Amino acid sequence: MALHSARESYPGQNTPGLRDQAGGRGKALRSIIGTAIVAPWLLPALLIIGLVQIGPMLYAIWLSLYEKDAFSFTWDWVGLGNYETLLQSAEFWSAAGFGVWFAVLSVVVQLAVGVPVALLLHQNLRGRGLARGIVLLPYMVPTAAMALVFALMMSDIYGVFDHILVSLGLIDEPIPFLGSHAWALPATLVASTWKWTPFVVIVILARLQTIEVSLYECAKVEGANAFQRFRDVTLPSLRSTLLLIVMLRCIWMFNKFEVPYLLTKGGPGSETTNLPIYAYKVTFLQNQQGLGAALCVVMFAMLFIFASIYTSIVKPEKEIEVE
Amino acid sequence: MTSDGKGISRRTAMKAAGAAGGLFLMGKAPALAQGTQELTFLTGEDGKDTQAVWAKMFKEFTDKNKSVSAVVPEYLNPDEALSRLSILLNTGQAPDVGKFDDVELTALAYNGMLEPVTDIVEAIGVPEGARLRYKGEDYFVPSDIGIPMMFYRKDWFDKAGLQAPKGWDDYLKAAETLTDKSQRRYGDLLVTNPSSGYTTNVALNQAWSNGGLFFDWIDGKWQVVVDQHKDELTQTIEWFKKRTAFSPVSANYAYAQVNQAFAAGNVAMIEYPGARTLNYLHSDFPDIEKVTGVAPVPANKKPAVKLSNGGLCIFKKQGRDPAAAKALVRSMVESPLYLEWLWTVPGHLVPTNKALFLGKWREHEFFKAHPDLLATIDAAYPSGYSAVTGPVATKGPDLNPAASSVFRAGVYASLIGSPILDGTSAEQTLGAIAKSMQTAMDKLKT
Repeated sequence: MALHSARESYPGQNTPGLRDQAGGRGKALRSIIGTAIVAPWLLPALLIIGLVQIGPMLYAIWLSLYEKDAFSFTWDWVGLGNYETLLQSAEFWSAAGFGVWFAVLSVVVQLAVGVPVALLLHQNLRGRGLARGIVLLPYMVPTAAMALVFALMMSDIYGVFDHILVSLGLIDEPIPFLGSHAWALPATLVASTWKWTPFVVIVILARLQTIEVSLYECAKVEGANAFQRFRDVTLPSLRSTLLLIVMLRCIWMFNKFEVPYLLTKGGPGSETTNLPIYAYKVTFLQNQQGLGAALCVVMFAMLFIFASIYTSIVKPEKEIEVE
Repeated sequence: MTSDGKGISRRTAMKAAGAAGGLFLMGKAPALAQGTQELTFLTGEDGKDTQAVWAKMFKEFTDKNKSVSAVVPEYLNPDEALSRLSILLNTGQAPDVGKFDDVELTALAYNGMLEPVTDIVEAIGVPEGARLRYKGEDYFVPSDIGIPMMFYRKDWFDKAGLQAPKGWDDYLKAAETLTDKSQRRYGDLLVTNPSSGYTTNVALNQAWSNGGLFFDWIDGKWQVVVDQHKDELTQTIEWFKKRTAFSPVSANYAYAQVNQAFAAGNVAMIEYPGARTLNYLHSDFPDIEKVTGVAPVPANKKPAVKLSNGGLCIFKKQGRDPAAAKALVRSMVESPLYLEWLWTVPGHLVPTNKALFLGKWREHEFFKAHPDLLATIDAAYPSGYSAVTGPVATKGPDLNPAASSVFRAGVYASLIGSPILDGTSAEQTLGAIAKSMQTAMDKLKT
């Protein structure tokens, strides 16, 4: 079997349409009328986006050019000084590095667990409905509650994990899962995987259910075994979904605040401090609002660049057709 | 109508505010009609009992002051309250009255956000030692003091034939004796979390007890003196490092986790800035309360008593009615309910008024059940110091905004956090601390 882009040979895509054949004046008039009809319907959405997204973004950019203490009304112009401070700060680079590492590892683990679970739940097994409901449960639990429960379970003083390990004689002393350099990242990954893998499962499962059965039947007729059917039918059909999941989850895990903060407070030291935690500390604990705003602008720029490069290279919207 | 059936509805208040705003924009000062204003109150005190007493105080106040229809409180936990305050200040909605600790109040006073309240402080007779001034004015009314103390497992100490430790060496010895990690039992609990105010309090307390200073009032101004106190501060760091052998790894702990760890029955000794631990045990873990002793925090050369002064303040720039706000503050500290307020967390909220401290305040039942608590407070009361007035509180200098700034930024906490978590040498740690402090000093407006 061979794969090719469905859009590469879209039938009739170069055929001139009626609109292209119409006269210039008529086209312009239709365009004006069209805009006049559509504009009022777009206005509320544009206003809301402007108020809740563009406005705060511009305010953050403006604030990032000032030195501003949270407990003061004084705004001292520093221009790009906050950005300079950030780029020279070892804490910033450490937080950015950890953020990237945490996002990549999380997404790999979530996919490694989520895809097989989705494939399993797609099978016609007994109790499938119940199993699907159970798998989705973590996604329904409020994140803060889940993180606090994990923090209790992973505590080296009264946590159940250490209790079990010590009781079974597997370890002599409790492991400080959330407090040691060696364990803080794996512990945070475990909690994140538990919470967000269901998202991967839901999306993959939804896509699996839309793959045409005839493709599998065709493959069977051609003599493809189960692995070949997965490789040549399932996987290509999941391509755009997987690429979209990778992009979204990378962005969301890079931006993740509540779970790492509630579990480790960004520690030990700054071991699990990512950029959102660093921004929180700078803005609300150190009260440097201008620097905090600069940090958020830099985070936005990093994600924007990542998303732009990612979408232009891997083209998740590109559909793949099975021949 | 408001919930008590008096005053005006929120809708009417909003209409009035809109009209006032319109007049203001037209250049005409809005004159609020009598009985149309609410006062807002923000605090980091989230205890239900305290809130109940305050609700009664607010009712008492609005009954007597007809120009105020209601006092609208917002109770949050300490960290949330500060985040909320910064948001409110930056959106032009500062509360009329706030209750915060001296560290935050210093920053607010320095930035000119607060109304002077010297007249109230003098009228109600706040003792000199409890007053914290900035440029000759009082900017908050001290309402309560938090005194650090040590809580320890009496039963374990008795079984091991140990006394409550008084000095650093005794402390290490007791911690070592009582540690059995295979049983998940620790002699000590040293919090290394650099983001927690708890770590800062412990670091400051022990540095002070060893004679180590960060700032000092020299030649009529605050100066960074880390270099001059290098030996004392290095010894303090070394002592903290030794303690880690007997403590769980507590890199993500804050106040609540310290109490939870002790209540779980796995830790022999903890330090806490006030008696909240004992109150928590009393309400939720009475079995642990029965076997808990209270003693002064072990110290090396002098008592380790960093006081945290809570105070009521009035916001100046955005507050809607400073006169009414002043009346509210005064009513709170002069109210017959003031004692009831302090008793909501007995031993944790210690009165600033010495007569009250020596008199009726100590009649609470809780002190009869815990005489060691009262003895600990009595021992500490005269010897405490504040983080923002350092060693010279009684000399009446200005508050130190740089000390407040580095406190909030977690610089003091790095005395524990950096050497233990990051493996930084004492010299590097102290160098970084001195640099941060000097930067904070240099940033101060003259």
